[in-house]
Parts: sequence; C-alpha cells; structure tokens
Amino acid sequence: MKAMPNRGGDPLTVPTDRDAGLDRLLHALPAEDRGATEDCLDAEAAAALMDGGLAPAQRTASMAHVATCGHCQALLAALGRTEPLAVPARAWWPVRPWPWLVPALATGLALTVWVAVERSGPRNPAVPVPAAMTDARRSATTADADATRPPVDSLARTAPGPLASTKAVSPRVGPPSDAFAAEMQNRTDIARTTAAPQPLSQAASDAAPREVAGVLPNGVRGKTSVAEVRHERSVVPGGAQAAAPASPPAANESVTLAAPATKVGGLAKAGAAPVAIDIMSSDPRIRWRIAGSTVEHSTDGGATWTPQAIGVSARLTAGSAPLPEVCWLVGDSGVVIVTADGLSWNRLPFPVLTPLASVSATGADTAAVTTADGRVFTTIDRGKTWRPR
Amino acid sequence: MAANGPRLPDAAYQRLHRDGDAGRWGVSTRRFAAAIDASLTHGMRGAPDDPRDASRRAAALHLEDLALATACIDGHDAAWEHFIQTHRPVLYRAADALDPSGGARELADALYAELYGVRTGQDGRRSLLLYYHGRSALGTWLRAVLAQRVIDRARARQRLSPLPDEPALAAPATGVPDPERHARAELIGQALIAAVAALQPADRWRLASYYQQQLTLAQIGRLLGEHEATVSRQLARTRRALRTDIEARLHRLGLTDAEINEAFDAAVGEGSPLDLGQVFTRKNAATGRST
Repeated sequence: MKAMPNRGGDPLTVPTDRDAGLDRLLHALPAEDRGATEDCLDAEAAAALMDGGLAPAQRTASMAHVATCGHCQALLAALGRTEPLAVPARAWWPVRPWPWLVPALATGLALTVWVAVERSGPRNPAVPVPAAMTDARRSATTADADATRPPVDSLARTAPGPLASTKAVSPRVGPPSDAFAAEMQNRTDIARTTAAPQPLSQAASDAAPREVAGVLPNGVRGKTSVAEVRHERSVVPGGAQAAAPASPPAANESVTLAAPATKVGGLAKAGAAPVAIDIMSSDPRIRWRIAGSTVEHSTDGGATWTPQAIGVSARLTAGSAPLPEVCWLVGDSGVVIVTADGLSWNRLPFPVLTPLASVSATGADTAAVTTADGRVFTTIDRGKTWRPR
Repeated sequence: MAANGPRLPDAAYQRLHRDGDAGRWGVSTRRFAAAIDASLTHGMRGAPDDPRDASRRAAALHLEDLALATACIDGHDAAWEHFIQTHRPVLYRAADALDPSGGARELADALYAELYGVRTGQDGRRSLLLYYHGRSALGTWLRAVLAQRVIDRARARQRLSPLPDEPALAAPATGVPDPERHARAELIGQALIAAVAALQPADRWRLASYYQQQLTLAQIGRLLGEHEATVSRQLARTRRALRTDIEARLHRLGLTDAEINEAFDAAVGEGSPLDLGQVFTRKNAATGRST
C-alpha cells in the first residue's frame, strides 16, 4: 500500500494508512441483504420511523432491525433520497424596491476593484498566463459590470450526486489526509470559482485568503455546505462580487468567496471565458484548477500554477482531490481522468459517453461519478469496473 | 378496553375531529373515530392497552392527513381533488429523485389507481390509503410506498436478469497466490465484520447509510433525526472505534503492530486477495444467521 504523504509535521503516517485502508474496506463492505423478512419495515412503518411516529420501544426495535437489514436500509435510503428539498432562503436585503441599486453598486464596485488591481500591478509576474486568459481578464472588467448578466448559481449540491469539491484543513484535526474526512467534505462541499476578469493564477491566489471556512464539530473544516438547500440562484451584482449566501454559514458550513469580479458556480456563457473550477486537496497547498480542457496544478496554495498535459480535449466539468497526490477530473463525453502522483494523468474507461457533472473521490481507486442526467456510477478499482447506483 | 371497541372517550374523538378539520371533507366524528381506532390498533400491536397511552398517541397522529385520507377512501370528490393537487407533485418529485430517467413516474402514476381504490367483489372500492394510519405525514407515506415499489421492481428485474456489472467488491488477485498474504487479509476482513457487528444499531445504520447506501450527510441526518454536523461527528467517532476494535482483535490474535500494518496492506493494497463478500458469506454460514 502506498504510504501516505507527510502533511505539515503529522507524525501519524502509519495510523493514517490504516484509516485510509479502513475507509476503503468500509466502502467495499457488502450490504447485509437477506431479502425481506417478517421483521422488515413496511412502507407505513418506514414512514413512521422517519417522521418520528413510532413509540420509543417500536423505534428502538425498528432501528435494531434496520441496523442489520440491508433490505430495510435500502428502503429507508430510497425514502431519504426522495426527501423534499428545503425552501430556499430568502435574501435579507430588499431587492425589489430599488432594482437599479444592484447594477449600480456592482458597476461601482467593479470599477473600484479594477482600479485597485491595476494599481497593484501583476501579483505573480513569474507565472505565465495563457493569452486567452489575459484577454479574458482585460475584457471582463467591463463585461462583468454588465448588469444584464444572468444570475449566478451558487452550486448547491443536488443529492445524491456530489459536485466538485474543495477542501480546507482545520488545525484542530489530526491528519489532514484522512480519507474519511476528505470524503465527508466531498459530500458536503461545493465550491466552483469562475475566473473571468483575472488570470487564473491571480484569481485563485486572491480567492484563498477570502475563504470563510466553518469547522465541523469533529474538527473537519467544511466548505459551502449550501448542500441540499438548493438556493442556487444568488444574484451576484454584475459579477463584481462573489456570491454570498442569503444567510450566514452555519457551524458546519463555509462559503468560498472568490476573487473580485469572479463568479461562483456560474456556467460560462457562449464565448465567455471558460469556467475555472478550483479543486483543493486535503493539503491546502496542493490544488488543481480546470478551465475548459485546461488543467493547472499548484503546490504553493495557488501562488503559482503549472499547466499539466492530460491527453484529452473534452471540456472538464468537475474534480475531486481526496489526497494531495490524487485528483479525479470528469468532463463531457464520459471523460474521467485521474492522477495518482499529482503529475501524470490517465484516462479511465467509463460506461456511458455522456456529460459528467461531478465526481466524489476518496482515494486513487475509489470514486463516485454523477452524470449530467443524474445517474451515479461508482468504482473501487480505479475505473476497471463501474457500478451503477 | 376491548381492542375492537372505541379506545378513547367521545370528547376525545370530538377534539381530534376538530383538530384534524375532518368536517372540511364531510367526515363525521364517528367515521373519524373509527379511523383513529384503526390507527391505534395498528400502532399499538403487542403493547398493553393503556388508555392514557392511546390518548397520547392519538393526539400525535397526523390528524389532518388522516382526515383527508379517510375522506378519499370514502370517495369524497373534493378531498380526492385536493389530494391529487397537493400530493401529485410530491410524488413526481420523489419519482424523479429515485429514477431520473423517468422510470419511477410510471410507478407513481400506477399508484393513483390503487390510491383511488381497486374495485372488489363485495366491498366496493378498496383504496391503498387504508394502509395509511397517520403515524407519518401523508407525503412521507406516499414517498415510502413509491420507494418500496421502485425497490421491489429493481429486485424483480435483478432476479430476472442479473446485471453484468454487479459489484466487483474486491477484484480477486490474479498473480501467484500468497497464502500468508491471503491469511492476513482474511484476518482484517473477519475483524472488520466482527467490529461492525458489535456496533450500536444507530452507529451501524449510520455507517451503512454512508458507505453502502451512499447517502449524503444531510440525507442521513434526516433519516436519523440528527443534524448534519452530528452525523459527521458520529461517523468519525464510529470509524475511530472500528479501527480501535479491529486493532484490538488483531492484537488478541497475537499480531504485532508491524504485522497489523502488513495485514492492512494485504487487505487493501494492489491485487488484494480479500473478498469481503466471501468473508461475509462464510461468517453467515458459520453463525447460521448474521448478527
């Protein structure tokens, strides 16, 4: 088994290996499905269990049965997947009375940011910036002030499929490489950043200090757990300011505030700059970002970026980096690529040639990929076999 | 009080009738009392006949939904129309969540015929809503019925034509077999299954929901009535406990730390010989029934 890399003075290399191994074993553990028995919950009892309608003794007995019955677990899981989504939170600011205020403020803010950026000069002059991206930067300061820009999605996670994830590391937790913690973040995290007006390098480096990360009670730092709420349409004034949630992040939530004049989770308009998606690994210094079919890698927290050859030309849509040296990317036409050393990429066979929407990986071999039409495929052997869920 | 007779005083039925706004659908107090009694009889099977407990349970029923279901069973047109308008979107959303390709919508549509009532020889219509007892919201019950149908259909299809890509839980090793490595991996598998079996029911269900059913933390939280953060914390705690238990079991077998590392390596490394499905089957066969 591959040794887990040391992350910032963590001495627990061996236990981390065991944790990662345990995580993989738990994924591979088959469900105990012996078929329906007379003790199994019927739909009425399952609904009552879910809505708290069982007497305490019945609830205890039902839970004891469900814990060991794959049949009932499947029923309850299906019921859980059909749970209606929460009502979108309403914006606290009164938008309607002054419809002109948002674009006006956005324009002003965009100009302020533009002046500030231009005065400060290039922040990473050593980093080569693709010409297309530079052009995008020049044009976007005005383009992003366009108040007619469509609303920006904040990319709430649509259950059950995970979306691209980013990770941050809490100083309170032990090994940041913990695969379990990484996966839990994968299931709660979403952060997509579109960098239109700045070069990617600059956008990412600006974005990093603006991350407002909450800490889960178990010490795992989470991000953008706007999950399940689906209040995806937060209007970003002219794109000049990052999308902010309508309500403050909860204890287990955090929101990635992107660089000035960036969009969060927006879909690129035709002809606009490609959507850049940041994929942070469990080590905050190691991250990838994708824009179109371009992949860049950073080992210094986004200060500098190195383009990587991936061998595919399809548009990439999402990624997941459960470990600093492991990153999965998915894209159009069933493209799934993975790197297990942080450098070289391999394309994996995928059962359907359809656009892929998200990936949630827990290691170099284990990942769940969600197609754009909502199907989920999982692999535990690095794409040799895929199992529809 | 006899199980077949009224379980509550008349005043209680009248209060429940009022609370459930059953009069809106033309459901009489007597008819609603019968529906409540049926619910209590169903919900208190095997429990001692305690009037105070019955009263508490009756008050905890989803009375408005029970009144609506009762009216639908009785063929009240306005109630049925209200039911369709209110619950059809819920059912369709649930169907789409269960099968985004639209396959579950057929089942949802088919449910309406049963909900309206299938004609029987002597009893007239017999509605599926008779199985709704008010212990959950009507919407939750409908989603559960649909989920059950979808699962049953999937199982039936699986039985008829096994999927070619059924889980490759652990690809068997293809190289030269290494008995020692195989034995170590087997030890890990046995220890893992034993450690999972020793977990508390809630912990085990949470773990299965996360790893086997692939639910999100939020979905698990809704199932278990816990906050998402609590689910996260509890899963982390369970996993730590599992690891400790596995290590303790292996230590008791005389394995050193280095050997435990090797065992983990054998179990999850490249070309692992461990097939947890087989370990599971062997354990079940040995115990007659799994824990």
